[in-house]
Amino acid sequence: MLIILGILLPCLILLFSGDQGSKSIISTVLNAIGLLIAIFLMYKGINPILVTALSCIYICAVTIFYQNEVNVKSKISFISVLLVLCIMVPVIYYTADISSIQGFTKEQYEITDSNGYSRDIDINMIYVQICVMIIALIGTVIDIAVAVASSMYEIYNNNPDIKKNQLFIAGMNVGKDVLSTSIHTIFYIYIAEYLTLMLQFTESYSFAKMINSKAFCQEFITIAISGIGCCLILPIVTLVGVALLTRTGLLLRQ
Amino acid sequence: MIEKEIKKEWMRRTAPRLMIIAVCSVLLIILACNDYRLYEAPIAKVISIQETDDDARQNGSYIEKYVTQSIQGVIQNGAYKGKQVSLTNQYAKSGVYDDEYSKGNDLFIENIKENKNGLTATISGKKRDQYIASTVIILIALLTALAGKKGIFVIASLAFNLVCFYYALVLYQQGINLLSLMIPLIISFSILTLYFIGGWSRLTLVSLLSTLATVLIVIVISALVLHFYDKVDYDFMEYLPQPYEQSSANIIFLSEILIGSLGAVMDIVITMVSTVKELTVTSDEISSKELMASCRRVGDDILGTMINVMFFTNVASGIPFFLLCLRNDIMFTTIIRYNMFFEIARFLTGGIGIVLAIPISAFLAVYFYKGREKAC
Repeated sequence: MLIILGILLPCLILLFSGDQGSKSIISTVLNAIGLLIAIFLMYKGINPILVTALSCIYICAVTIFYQNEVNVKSKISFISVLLVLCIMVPVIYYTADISSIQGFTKEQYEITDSNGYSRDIDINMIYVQICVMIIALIGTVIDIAVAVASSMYEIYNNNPDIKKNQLFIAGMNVGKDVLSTSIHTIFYIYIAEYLTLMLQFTESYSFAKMINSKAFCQEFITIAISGIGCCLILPIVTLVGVALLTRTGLLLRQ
Repeated sequence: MIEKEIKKEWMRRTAPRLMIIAVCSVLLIILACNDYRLYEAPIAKVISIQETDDDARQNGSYIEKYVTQSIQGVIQNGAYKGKQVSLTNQYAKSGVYDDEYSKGNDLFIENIKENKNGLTATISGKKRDQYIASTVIILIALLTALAGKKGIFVIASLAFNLVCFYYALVLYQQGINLLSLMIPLIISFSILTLYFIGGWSRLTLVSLLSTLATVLIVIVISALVLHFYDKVDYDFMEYLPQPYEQSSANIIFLSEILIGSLGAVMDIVITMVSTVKELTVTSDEISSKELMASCRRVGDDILGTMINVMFFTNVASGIPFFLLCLRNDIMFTTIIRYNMFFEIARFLTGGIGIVLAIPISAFLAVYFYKGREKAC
């Protein structure tokens, strides 16, 4: 079934989107390959945090620079995303560590030692969970950053004399709309992902048991962290945008 | 000079608001960390831990270290409140199925027994509600502080959506067919979210129609592919309540596809319809053809990043399982075909939804914004 869908999607993309669409397909493939290499490196025993850091830089570079060419907009997005990731990593580490949301839970009853998934694998699962939470938010954060950076570029281009304050406020206004739709997008994706878990919960768990269970925590905290990451990218990309755009504008006018 | 005035305004109006949000958040988080009274089950707070290494276990070429923790805790609620209790916990260093506890953790305990050395009990799990509460409170605080009224609308929309979702699940447990629940659920989701983003307006109506049309086509395609292809092995669907029937599992799978693509489709639809609306408002003379061309350009831009959002959000949660399988010597192709099947399927169907949303919403938007004016 995956094969049919895997052929149908690129065909539709090429049909409706042509040139830019083929770039999307290639960048997704490159990202997928990057992710697989990252997983392979973690499998071979390399520290997951190091692998995550490298793959984030790779993913950002591929998604932002390959799809959108190297210009001031993409530079703004790239720097902002990396800044947000630097801020989020210690937050995510602290959260994952203190709430013990690594590994697998008893609600996933297929995944046990007896089914061939032995627990003796010598990988630090907390680091892996941090990797998961970062990868989960990187897509949306890049989306918001690119959208706001592009809008700010257009606004600045149409009015090069715009004051820094006004540019900042304009960027924030654009960002608020993008933030709203992005949070809804990830919200629905996660509900879809955990639909079966919620079926289990409503069948036999009390509210108190559910809210303290590792599985619910994994889901909920990942959604909340993604949301927090999306919120943080907004002021950061606006600030970086104001800084870089006004500086570039000054340079061009000289 | 003018910049100083703007700064003063900001200090007067925005800064107090931010302070209030920060103070409220901190208070609520402290409240959540100390809600022992709300629980019947006894909870112990860890005050000291002593660790001793156990024999390591070998699995092929991997050596797993095991540790036993001797824990002293103070019971926070119930009949034994204030008393010390001794607990033990054994965990593997990897943390695949078990947890390491540290000083300051709150643990649920059961089977409290008295013996000559004091109280002992067994640990039934970690208390985690304060972490959920904290992250949610921080998220709400950030949304309110950064996005103001729009942020509050987002929170309200998510809250209403969750209530709808929960109610649908309750009805499902009472025996109502999931498929007949999905249709009103999707419509409710769409109406709620679009209303909170755009209010009652032509924009919302056109977005609603485009969203529902796209999602309908996605589900038809998925259902056809599912029907005409090999039987899907639902043993690998995480959390699926067992025993299951193939047909009900199929419906659950289709529901997941439906809900998962909804968000991305709405995002694209709103962007496209807003663009068309802005273009028709700012330039009356623009023709339908030019509108469609602009839409195409906008669509090209947002297609790439949306596909990436879909990819990473769906695939991310499969990474730990991937690693577990690899280190248990399961073949790579097996993992992709069986263990990661559902994540990849949701990504692909979501992607199809995204690609279809662009022309559908562009066509409907141009028809409603341009077609109506022709009629006038």
